[in-house]
Amino acid sequence: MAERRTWLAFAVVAGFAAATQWLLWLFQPEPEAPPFIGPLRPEYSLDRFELKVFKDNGQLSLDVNSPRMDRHGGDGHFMVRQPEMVILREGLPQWQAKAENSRIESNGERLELQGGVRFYSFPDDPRPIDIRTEYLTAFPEEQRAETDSPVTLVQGTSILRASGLRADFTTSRLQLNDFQLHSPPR
Amino acid sequence: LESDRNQAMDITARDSDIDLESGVHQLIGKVEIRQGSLLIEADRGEVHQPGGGQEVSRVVLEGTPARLEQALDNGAGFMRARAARIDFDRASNTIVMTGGVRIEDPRGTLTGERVSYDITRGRVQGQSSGEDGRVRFVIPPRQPQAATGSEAD
Repeated sequence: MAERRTWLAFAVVAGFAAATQWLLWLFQPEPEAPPFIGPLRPEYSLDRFELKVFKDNGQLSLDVNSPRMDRHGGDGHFMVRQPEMVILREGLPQWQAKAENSRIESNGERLELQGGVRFYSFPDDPRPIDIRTEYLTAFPEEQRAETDSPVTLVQGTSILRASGLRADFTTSRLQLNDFQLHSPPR
Repeated sequence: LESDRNQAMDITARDSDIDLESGVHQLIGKVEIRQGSLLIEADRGEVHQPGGGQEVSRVVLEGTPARLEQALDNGAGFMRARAARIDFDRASNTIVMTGGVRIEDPRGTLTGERVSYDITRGRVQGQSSGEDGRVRFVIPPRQPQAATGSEAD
């Protein structure tokens, strides 16, 4: 008899707990929609924009032309569309670069190029080289460039392919991963 | 094959370090070179591409050992070689192998310390070998002719 009464009490308490849980779920407040965060709004934008970056000694180190630039507050970086860049070394044009988009640090010391990236030397360079990839980070001040994206290099009649690149232009050295070179018949 | 020299050359390696000034590529890890039927495999190598990357003029490969294989003309089989160092001069189409060289082809086996192989003329020239300082060329015995029907009974 006592055992039945115990089971009866347990059933009542369990039912009461279930009912309470259901009521809580029924009347819980609607989850708040996350506040809408639109694209980062630039501080200001310029059309037909040109950016010239000078070193401390007054030498021009970077020259950028672009149809559109957005300058962002905070760290003051530039978002530049379809940039055409000239990277100089000791005041002399050394490299050219093109891309669909780029992000340039305010001091011009780091360029992130994205989309149809082309990083190439000038035609009169005795050792012309043409680097193509989808993403490349360039450090004009340090004369370096690097990517972990697949990269194609056209050098003379040879085509080189790799899965990553580290370029040091002060020593004229390139380090490539998963290296492939195709040299046409003589 | 003589036609190999008119084929494109493809080189692969795990990593490469290119000196743009000198046009020399240092290749590191699983180096392979293919040109027509010619295949060379090695641990590391150097590719010389002077003149702003016009053409590959020379390739030097080292391995433990480096291995080379090439089909012989007229379907005469394959030439297989191994050496510590294989130096392929594309201009003269000559390969110089040094260090424990061993070349095998249907005509026999040649061992030496330094062997040059003129791919165009298929001519091999050996120089000093093993203990007694001579090139060693072993020609396998001619296979006995199969007995004709009458003699077989």
